[in-house]
Amino acid sequence: MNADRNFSASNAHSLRGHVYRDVARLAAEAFAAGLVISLALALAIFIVSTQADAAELGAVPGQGTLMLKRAAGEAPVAAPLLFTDVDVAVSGMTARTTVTQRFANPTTEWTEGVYVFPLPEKAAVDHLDMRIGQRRIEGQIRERGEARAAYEQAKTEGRKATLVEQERPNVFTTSVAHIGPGEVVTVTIEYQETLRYDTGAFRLRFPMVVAPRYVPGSSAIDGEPGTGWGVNTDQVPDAERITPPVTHPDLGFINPVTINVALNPGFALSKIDSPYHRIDVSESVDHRYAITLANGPVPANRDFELVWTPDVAAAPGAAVFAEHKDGKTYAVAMIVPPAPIAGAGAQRSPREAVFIIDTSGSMEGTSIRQAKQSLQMALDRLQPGDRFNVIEFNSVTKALFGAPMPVDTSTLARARAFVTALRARGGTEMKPALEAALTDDVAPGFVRQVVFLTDGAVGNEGELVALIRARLSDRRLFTVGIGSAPNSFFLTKAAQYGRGTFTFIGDVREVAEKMGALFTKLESPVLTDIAISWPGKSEVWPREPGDLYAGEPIVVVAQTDALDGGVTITGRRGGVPWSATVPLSASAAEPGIGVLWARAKIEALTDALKGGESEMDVKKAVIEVALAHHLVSKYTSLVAIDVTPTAPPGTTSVQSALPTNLPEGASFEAIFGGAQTATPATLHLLLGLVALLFAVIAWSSANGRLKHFAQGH
Amino acid sequence: MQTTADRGGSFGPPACDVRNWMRASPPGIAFRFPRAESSPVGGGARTARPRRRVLKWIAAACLALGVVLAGNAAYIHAKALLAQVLLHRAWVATQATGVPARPWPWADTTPVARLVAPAQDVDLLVLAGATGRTLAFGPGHHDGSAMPGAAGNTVISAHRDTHFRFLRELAVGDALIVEMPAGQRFHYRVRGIEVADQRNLRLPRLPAERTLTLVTCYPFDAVDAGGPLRYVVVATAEGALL
Repeated sequence: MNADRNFSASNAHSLRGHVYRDVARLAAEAFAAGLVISLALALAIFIVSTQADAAELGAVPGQGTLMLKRAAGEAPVAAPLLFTDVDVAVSGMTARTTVTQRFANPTTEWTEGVYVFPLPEKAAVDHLDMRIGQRRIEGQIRERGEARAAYEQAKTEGRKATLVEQERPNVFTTSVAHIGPGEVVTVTIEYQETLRYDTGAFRLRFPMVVAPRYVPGSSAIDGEPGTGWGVNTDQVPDAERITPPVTHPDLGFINPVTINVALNPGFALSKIDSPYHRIDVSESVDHRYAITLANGPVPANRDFELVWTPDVAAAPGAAVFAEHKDGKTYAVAMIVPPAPIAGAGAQRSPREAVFIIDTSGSMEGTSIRQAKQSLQMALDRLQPGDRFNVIEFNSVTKALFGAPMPVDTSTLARARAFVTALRARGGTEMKPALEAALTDDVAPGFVRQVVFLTDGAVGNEGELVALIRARLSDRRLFTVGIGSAPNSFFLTKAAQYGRGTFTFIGDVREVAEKMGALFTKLESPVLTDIAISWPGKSEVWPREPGDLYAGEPIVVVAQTDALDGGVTITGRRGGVPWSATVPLSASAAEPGIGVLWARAKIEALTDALKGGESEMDVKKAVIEVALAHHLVSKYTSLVAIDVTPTAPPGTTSVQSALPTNLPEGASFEAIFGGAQTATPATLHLLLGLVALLFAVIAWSSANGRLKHFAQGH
Repeated sequence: MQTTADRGGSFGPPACDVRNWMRASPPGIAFRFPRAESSPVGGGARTARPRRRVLKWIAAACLALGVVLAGNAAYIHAKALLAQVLLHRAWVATQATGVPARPWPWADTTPVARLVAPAQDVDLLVLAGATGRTLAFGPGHHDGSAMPGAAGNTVISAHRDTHFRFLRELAVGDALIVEMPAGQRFHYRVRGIEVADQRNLRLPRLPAERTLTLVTCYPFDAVDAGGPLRYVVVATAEGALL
């Protein structure tokens, strides 16, 4: 109202300068109109030029003359589409999983599909078949080189073929030759595994995506050829085989997966839970359950986990399952030691705790939040008298203190500030960080622990595990697997050689619970110096079971001549000798135990490589077991070959690496680079000018000048 | 691919409703008579006055918005220019004393290299890390990529509308020089220029030759800052000259 009054006053006052004002007004209004037109034109030109630039680009990509390595299989050739169905049959403490991969070729070219995918790190893959329409061809186990040669031979003859190779115990490659235009080839892989029983619950884990791995190394080498984006280096000679191309999340999800679990736990359950996916559970008779994904297929971008908890009364103390196969008897025994002796932890020795946190680019997103929160919780648990250090690493390693420092309010405050300020970016040079934590100094009177928080997204697992083994000394190393698709093989092996244990955190909501359970375990192992004696003539794996932590069972697999007597476990519990015997006569029959035994043996043989066993001897022994039990291993592959050629003679299929999703919660840009390299300055300037223009127009309009202008004054 | 046209919805400042000023044409005559608060003018005048008030408020809001937006645009460019001046000073100080000097007291980054394009008369100081914060001040060296002179690929990013605007003038065969804090100089020659979709782009960490890769957004004149295309200049080492 005030402004109005002033305005009319000034209006009345300036009647004298009417003519001048009209001229000025006209000039201003003409200017405003000109501005409108020029801005509108500018805007149009901007939009058009952007589109023109974009159109002109059509010709540019694909020249490929530079050293830029585009992941094979991406534009311009469309990769085959992949649909995965997972069916798990759980029986007691073992599970058999059927993974059906349907390769559909939507293109007009004959295509060879190469898909790199994860399986559980202890999966015993023993079956493959390939279906083309109504025909079904079963896979045969061959030495890796022979299988590859047979596959290549079939390819040159125009016959369809499928090859399943192991790159890591938890990374496999399926190659399918000659998928015709519009055709679908269905590949079925089956594996057997022992379920993990921990802290009163069974866990089934099905990984769905191989997270982008960092490839360390100082020089590029030829190495083993593959289809991935990685470059083979002196430290990771098969990087090309473990780095499937990744689709940017902006382009939408690919690789849908359905999951069905037929759960027969053998006892009453108090709870079934799937922490990362929504499930539907229906119960039938006898404590049998059918579990399926609640909302249909999910994208293959994070681990699926199913957790079931027995009724307290039904919780198993021990179990034995056996299988008679090819004239031999195999048995698996699980023994849960009683809870730690109450009060045993009362005399807590001072700790030296070294925390290593991975702050590489692959941790960016939800992972780094989980890791930081976990680490802050761990700092809370430190007590006066302890000492500690925090080490972060990405491309470089940075330690909070030069050496572990005593716990006090000032060191803790510095540690908290250090952790809060951590940001995830850069490479994953893990070796210097482990070397910084595993120094060769001694700390008499301290219980030494290393807690290692990482997603394990590296390609040089073997080298790192060997380093842990060599430099551990009297420490124990515990791994905390972070994120939606952690490298379970590396994390469990690092813990095994670190004489510690592992935990997985896949969601910020799990931090408190999972870290709480880990702290209980950190207090001390509940059973040490474990020895197993199996009656009769038998071969038992593992030979040297590691120490057990609270809530963990002993699981051993044996090939034996008879199921008489009992398995005796001896060890030290709270420093006191302890033993337990499980009668074998009570064993339940269960298929697939023989395969589990062979898989455990292969793992033990491969582990012996780190103990200095020659690769030649290990390879020979592994091949013998693997061929006998039809198992895929580092040295053996499954191959299925069609009998009749289906591709026209002389067809060369386009090799196409199937892309994967980015693991949920990760940042594409933090892993592959690509910061935003434009400022909003131009946009802001443009919008600013438009706003100013509207200000002029609104002001003139309020004064009625636009009307004036329109009337031609 | 998202073009500006796709994002058209975000155009036009929300505070200024175009249809409003078209419709809100108050009877201009009412405006010309001296007005008294009490005079019983027709209904048109009574609705015109609040309308004018609204229009004035809109004008004020648009003015404020325009000043803020245009000011911000100016600030972005001023910051990019000023930071380079301060960084050059810090660089000289670092080379003279051997101790990394902060370009400004609260800086959380220090220059790691100096990038010179002689033909284009460009002299830039490169910061550690290619994050949004560092790129406001200068080109950023990607964490995890090789340091200049070391084996591998040195990747440097910058904004297409500030520091790396000159990339559009770079041609194959042009020279680039990178200077390190200790004074070593590495000479590179541009081998290739390509436009790539960032979502498909993989820059090798260990190419066969020592490589310098400069990355910026493309197209250079796009209004939209969020496009997926990148302009990639690849140069290879010509050996070190001390």
